[in-house]
Amino acid sequence: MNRRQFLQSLAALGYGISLPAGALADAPEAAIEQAWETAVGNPYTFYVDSKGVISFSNDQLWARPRAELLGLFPVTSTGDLFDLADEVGAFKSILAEEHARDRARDPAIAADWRSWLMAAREDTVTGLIRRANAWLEEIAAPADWRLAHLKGYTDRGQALVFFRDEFGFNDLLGIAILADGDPGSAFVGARLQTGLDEANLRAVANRLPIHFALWRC
Amino acid sequence: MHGLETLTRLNREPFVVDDNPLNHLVRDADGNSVPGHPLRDHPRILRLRAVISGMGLNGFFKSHLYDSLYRYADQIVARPAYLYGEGPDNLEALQQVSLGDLWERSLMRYSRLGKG
Repeated sequence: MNRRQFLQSLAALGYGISLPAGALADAPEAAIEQAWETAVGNPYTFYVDSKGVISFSNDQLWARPRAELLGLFPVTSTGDLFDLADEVGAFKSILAEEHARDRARDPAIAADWRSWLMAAREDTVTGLIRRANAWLEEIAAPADWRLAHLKGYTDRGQALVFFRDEFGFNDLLGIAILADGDPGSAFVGARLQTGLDEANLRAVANRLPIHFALWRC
Repeated sequence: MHGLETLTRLNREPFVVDDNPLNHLVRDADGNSVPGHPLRDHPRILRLRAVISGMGLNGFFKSHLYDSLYRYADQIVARPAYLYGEGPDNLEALQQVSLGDLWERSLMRYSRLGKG
């Protein structure tokens, strides 16, 4: 465990450890141990909802348009349509459906939707741009939230990234990573499976400066 | 302060429209519906939303700015209106607080607890 780096982060977060962040880089091991003791007594808090999913914050979620949730740009050109389709699979499906509908009317048009879009008439492109922007302004659906979690755009998604990529004690604390992107799965995230009290007891027993609290409590 | 409270109350007119199925959303993990923010259409918030929409940022930071916008909406609408050069404008304040939050979380991530 890299206690020095972790303590630096806690110092920067203002968690009241006994050495300033700058001093930690060159501090002797004994001082690091002493600071670690302080951090263990003042742990970083993550929040866990009723299903056990861990979040970086205790803040309320608010409904948002798709463009806001996923940080997407308004569409103004054919190139933007391609970019949006590459960024979000759901929009690619919309374009593919439009292409299929167009091709049903006129079998002579290109067989793949990209070629069709490249060669599309101006009024077709204008209609697609209008549809894309309307789609971007729709309120985000559960599938969009799932995508945002997977991309690490939300508090839950950022916790997922942390516990999946950085945290080394998932087995010890009973944290499962649910991030397979399976559209049929109920949710994605880092999930605490042991229960709050048990996880906190284990964190204390193993002297980890981390604590779990109930989300929206 | 009374004016602010009045404005806040007026803006608490629900953004959620009950007959629109898109607004009866289910949170993917715990099944709760997710309401719209009560200050979403406050003039200051509306202005910031429009500005962020046009900013040339990557998806992650853009999404995070919107996140901060709603997280701190009550404080943004309560900020004094500074004259030019007198203090940070709302967008600048929003960016500062957003960067600060990201920085804290990045430190937590890169602390690599257990994998250092």
